[in-house]
Amino acid sequence: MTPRPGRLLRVGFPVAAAAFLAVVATGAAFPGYAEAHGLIGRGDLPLPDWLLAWGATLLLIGSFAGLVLLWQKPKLEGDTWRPIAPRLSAVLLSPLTQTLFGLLSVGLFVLVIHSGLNGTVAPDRNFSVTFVFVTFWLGLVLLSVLFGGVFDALSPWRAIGRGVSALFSLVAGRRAPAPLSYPERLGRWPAAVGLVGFLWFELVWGQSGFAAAGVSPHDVAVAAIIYSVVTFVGMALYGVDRWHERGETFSVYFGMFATISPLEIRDGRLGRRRVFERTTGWAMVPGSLAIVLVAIGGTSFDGAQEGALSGAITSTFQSFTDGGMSPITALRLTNSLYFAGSLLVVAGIFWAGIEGMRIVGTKRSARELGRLFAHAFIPIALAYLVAHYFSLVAFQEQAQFTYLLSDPLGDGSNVFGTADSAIDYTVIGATAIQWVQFASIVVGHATALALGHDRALATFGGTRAAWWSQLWMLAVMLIFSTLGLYLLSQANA
Amino acid sequence: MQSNAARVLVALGSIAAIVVLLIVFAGGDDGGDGDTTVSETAATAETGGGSGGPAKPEKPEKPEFTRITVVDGQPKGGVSDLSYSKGDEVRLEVVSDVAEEVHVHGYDISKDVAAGGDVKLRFGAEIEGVFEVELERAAVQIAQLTVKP
Repeated sequence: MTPRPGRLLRVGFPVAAAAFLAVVATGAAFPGYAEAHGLIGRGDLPLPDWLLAWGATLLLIGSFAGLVLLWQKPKLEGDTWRPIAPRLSAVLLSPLTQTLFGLLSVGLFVLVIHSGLNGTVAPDRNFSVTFVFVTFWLGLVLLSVLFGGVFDALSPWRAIGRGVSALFSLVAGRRAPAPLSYPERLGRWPAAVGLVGFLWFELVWGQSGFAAAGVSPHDVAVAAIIYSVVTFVGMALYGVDRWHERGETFSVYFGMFATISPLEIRDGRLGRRRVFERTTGWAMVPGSLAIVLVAIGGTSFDGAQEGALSGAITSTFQSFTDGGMSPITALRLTNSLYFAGSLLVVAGIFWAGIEGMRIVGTKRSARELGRLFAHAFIPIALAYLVAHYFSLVAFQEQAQFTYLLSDPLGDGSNVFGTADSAIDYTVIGATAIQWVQFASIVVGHATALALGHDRALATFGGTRAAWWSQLWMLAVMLIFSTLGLYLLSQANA
Repeated sequence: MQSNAARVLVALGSIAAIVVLLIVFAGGDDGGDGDTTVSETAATAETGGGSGGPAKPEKPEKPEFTRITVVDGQPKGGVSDLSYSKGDEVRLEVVSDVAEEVHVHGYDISKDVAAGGDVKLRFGAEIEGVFEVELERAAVQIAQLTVKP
């Protein structure tokens, strides 16, 4: 008989939920305001209360109705991939096109480093900051969801790595020495660590407010260089493609969203598949669950720090500065604590759900259950991103492809004649933004529910365990989705 | 595949959850509206300006400006909340003891203020959203401007 964790676990779920509500409630009691990376010109209005209440109600009723009405046999597992558009496929995947994509990505990478190191210190006038945090970090998520694994062709690190090994073969007249075999136990953990690092850099290091400047373009360039060194070491040790698919944070992160896409390149051919088909198998590699949870936790923290948690952050910050700490250190320490707290709360909620599944008679380890169900939360991670950053992308991309491209260093140059344009903040109304936010959370939740339901059927069959275990996963999803709506209702309030 | 008991349980559970949620959220978010805060800000700022700045005779202004007083480079009384509806005219006065540039993000309106002087900003609230009003050089936020549809 395996020893079971104590009775305490039975209360883990309510305790986690109560702790979370307590944290949120404390935060809501204080006013305060802060923003990340100094780019936001126009912030979103908070979601109105009536929309929040209706949203939460809709999520609840829809979820339980879904559970009763959804299909009774697993439907989403399987493989429907078939090649399409052979001519387009041949053109896209030809060495010439791939090389062009590679050159483009390396060129942009060099421009980021150059503008970061030598350009203006104003984050909103420097190409690097908007490119890294909006066009690259958010834009590639969108492209990956729509078109699949585009980052395989657009990764500057992979392009450089492949270029170097091709050069090596050319010069040395033989293939590069075989890399070490990548330890499978490591899975996607290196990428998960990198993801925490990137989010910390964006949301903690780059945080402005309380008289502390946001991320500086110089820091962006230095961080990019440091990350590149780590990546090239990883590629040198374990091989370019192996590191690209397991250890390289951005490739893993964008790849997670690419599993949603109906397009996939397989065996050198472009093909079509059912949406979410590859999502179901994605999380079986160790470390994948961490990626999903960190993605959700990071966005939660970003949403909370400009709303629900801003009061709590302000008071912690003040107690640090009262203790004699410099404002910038105090701000970074405070935000590090709340960032870590957000990740722990999100992980705790998920863990409580898994433990809940175990007490309803699922004879599987927590680790295995985590891997089995982690992928169902990818739509929620995506919904969070859309809800929190949709407007930022809509505004900031106007800058990216006009004045930031014409004047990347902010030194008055005007390469494409678009240096004098400005962001039109009236392109989309506040109400429209709120509906996009609302819809993304509702659709994300419904999709997560369907993925979780399907996996429960596939794992447990039509047994009672399938049904009860789904209730626990559903509870976790409901908490995340309602939390998402709640954070939106508190944003900038 | 489920028993009737389970269905009843689910129904009861969801009703309970809805009730709890509605109570939590209905009670949670009062007083966040800007209108009251604006008048408060104006009131505190008025007294602040009278005692802190160089003694100026208080003359009634038409139309009313919301005044923010900057002392030692920081907004007196913290970051003010300014709330308007789209189409309103924003009237903002900044009294500062340091030479600075007042910058309204999003609207991209910038005006210089001399040390010990004041500056008035007047513009139509045409862009919906939440915007920072900042002392640009020191990157200190002095107000949060909210424009509702």
